[in-house]
Amino acid sequence: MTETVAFILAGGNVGGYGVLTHNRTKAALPFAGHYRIVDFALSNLSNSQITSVGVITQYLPASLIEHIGGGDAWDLHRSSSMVKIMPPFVGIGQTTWFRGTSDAIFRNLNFVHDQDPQDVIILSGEHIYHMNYKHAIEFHHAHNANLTIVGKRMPRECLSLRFGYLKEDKKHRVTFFKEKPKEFLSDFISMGIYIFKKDFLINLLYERAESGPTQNLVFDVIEPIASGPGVFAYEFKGYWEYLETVQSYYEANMELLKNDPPIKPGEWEIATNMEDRALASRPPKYFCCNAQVKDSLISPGGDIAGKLVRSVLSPGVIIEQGAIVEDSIIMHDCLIKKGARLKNLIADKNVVFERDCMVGGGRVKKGKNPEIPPSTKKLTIVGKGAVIGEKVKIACNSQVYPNKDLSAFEGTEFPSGINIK
Amino acid sequence: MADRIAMILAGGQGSRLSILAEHRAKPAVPFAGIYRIIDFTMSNAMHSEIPVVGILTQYKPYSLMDHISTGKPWGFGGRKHHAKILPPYIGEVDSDWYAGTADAIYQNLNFIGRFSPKLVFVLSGDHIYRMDYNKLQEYHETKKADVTIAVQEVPFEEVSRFGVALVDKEGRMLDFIEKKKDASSNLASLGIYIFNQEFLEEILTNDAADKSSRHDFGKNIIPKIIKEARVFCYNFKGYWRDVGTIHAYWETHQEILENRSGLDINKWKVRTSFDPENLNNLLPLKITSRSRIQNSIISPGCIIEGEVTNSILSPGVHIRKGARVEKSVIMNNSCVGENSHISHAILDKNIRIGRNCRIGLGRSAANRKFPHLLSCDLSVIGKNALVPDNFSVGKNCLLFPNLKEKDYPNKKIGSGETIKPIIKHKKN
Repeated sequence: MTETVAFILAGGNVGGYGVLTHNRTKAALPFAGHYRIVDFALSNLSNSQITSVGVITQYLPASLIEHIGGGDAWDLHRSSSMVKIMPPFVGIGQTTWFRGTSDAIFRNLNFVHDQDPQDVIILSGEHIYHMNYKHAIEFHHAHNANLTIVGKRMPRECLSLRFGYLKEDKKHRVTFFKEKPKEFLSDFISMGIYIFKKDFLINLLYERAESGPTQNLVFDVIEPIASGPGVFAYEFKGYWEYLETVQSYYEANMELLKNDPPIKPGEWEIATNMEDRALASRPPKYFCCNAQVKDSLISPGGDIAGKLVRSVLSPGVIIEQGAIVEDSIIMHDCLIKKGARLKNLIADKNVVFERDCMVGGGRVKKGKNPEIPPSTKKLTIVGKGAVIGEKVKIACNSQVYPNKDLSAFEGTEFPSGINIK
Repeated sequence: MADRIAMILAGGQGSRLSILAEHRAKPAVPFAGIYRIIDFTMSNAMHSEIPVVGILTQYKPYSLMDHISTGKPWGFGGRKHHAKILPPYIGEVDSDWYAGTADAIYQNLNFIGRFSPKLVFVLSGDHIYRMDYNKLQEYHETKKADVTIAVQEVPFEEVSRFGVALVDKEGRMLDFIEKKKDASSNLASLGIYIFNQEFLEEILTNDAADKSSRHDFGKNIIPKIIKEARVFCYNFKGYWRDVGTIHAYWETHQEILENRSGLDINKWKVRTSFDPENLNNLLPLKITSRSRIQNSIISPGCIIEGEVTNSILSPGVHIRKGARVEKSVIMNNSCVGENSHISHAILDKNIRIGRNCRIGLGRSAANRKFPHLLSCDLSVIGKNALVPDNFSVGKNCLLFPNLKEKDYPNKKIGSGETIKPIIKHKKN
């Protein structure tokens, strides 16, 4: 018998990422070079011996589906373990796609019935953290809880209105829970990890469904019963990154460059799909005679002949001689040609930076960019497959849309804070 | 069914690679960071779309079997593409061990027969090269040959290491001379053959019955068939290296670094078995603020805090602050301590070099015990060895695997020395 069945919610259409989420869901965003964000949830589950995993998808799932594949990378493709992608569907009497997270789980309850587990854990595929869920499940059992919400104490400066807020009594019973309130209500926030007794979850979902289809798991299902009997809060004390916007995504990547980073994919045994983008057949990185590299995290494939400082490279990035890349995240197979200068930049996959172009850095001259959230570094984001033409200058806090070809704009200067579509 | 099949001879003992091949077959020796030597032949077979590959193992096959597994990294598996390990087995008649290269194929004629191929490639698993076997096959078919052997011009001073072919204008072989100093030709056999299957079966069956034969393709089979069969030579112009000696192994690495090889690993997509158990394979490479890396290949999972020049590092190697590594090859998970200096060295896996060590520096003197293996000013350190803090090791030194501090006679190991673990016998 399977003890615990997991659902990963990986279908959200989140804002705050600009063009980076134009073609993919947040969970499929590359992280720390060659990982994707969802690798952390999948690896946590696998490392916690939770091996029946359903992945709920909705928004732009192609990258995610391809990345998860059969689940081999996380040891979730064996006789007793599996990962199932659960895309939205319509059927007889079901004429809509998933109306939301709770509807998605309700309509995939067969997965739970088939496994007949003791508990069901529901969590997000969009956060960076390392957690052994076994401890939380032990707590759940020790308190004979119907529902355990995993929470974390956060310093006030790290609070966000996107979090759920918890209050508990001395016995860790939840006395209050409000998702995405209008103001900060406590320092104890929900990590979006819910452990249910199987029967409790099933009864709850059926009960709710009687009064019409439910939508959001948290608002419509959990919040109304959160301060009721049998609901407990388990406090997690490790590092956890919500990655609310592109700013925190950038910072979390930069954390990796520290001497003792809070995120240690090695110690945490975070696995990724080595077949995704042919990672396994990438040759090791070649550093040419003129390469100057400092404080960086580098994935295999491609040569470096230029200068690279405080940056994170995904596989296959080529930096030609005389090019300078600073404080940037450069994703798969970008080509940075001679004399190009990049600073405070996030480049999505397959971007070509032609000779002597200058992207990012400098001061904001106009007002802030309406399409990307404010960031301390005034980040510039270049969408997948864009071409930045020769000598093109793009000032900070700008965006270049995916596949935008600027090769005919030789020498053009674009001001800060604009979106090039 | 398969119209063609490749048999890879991967049993080589590799004794001239010394301690690098002590625990593993030569084709399984790590190469160019993340690869093993056999990956180059496996990738050639993959890119040439040969559907079935048999890998003949013999000597210490464990690493190799582990590495090849089902051949999945090279696209084998499924219904029509197979890679099979073929170890020696005890037959009905006599031998339980491959007597020679030809005998190894002979004992597996059944395996070949299962696929009824028209053509059989006989390849070696211990060469570094990039070849499209389809070109070889086209040549073979144009010449209506019974067997075609890939050859390459080598410098005359090196011919004694090879079997050398004399050919006519058409490329037909007139004579074949094995490893003689004063050969009149410099067309060296690369150990790459394509046979018509029926012809192969016939000559191998004849050879098996010949009690005087040593059952070796180069020594026995080829010289015997030149007269009666159509034996052709295919002049291969691409990069090809036999990395069977310490010096050739090191030099081929240097050639890849200097881009003289034309292998272009980046474009060619040499594939390897990624060993997902080894987590270092899965980590990005980390470079800190005081590091300097020039003309080097650095694998995933390495941490570079010091200086690396003209070197190749396998996954998980850690170069600590102030350490300098030059013209060296360092294999998986080895660590070089603070302020140590390593030059012209080959370090096997899991080696610990302490702080303030000096390795591969000093006067030039051939290794005293094994001058034939080590006289090219390289030092070699075996798997799991420790070099304690403040030790120095000269040139042409051979440090055996699993060395511990107590195994060293003193802190300064002069050039040409060999250090082995001290084995204490228990007194009863």
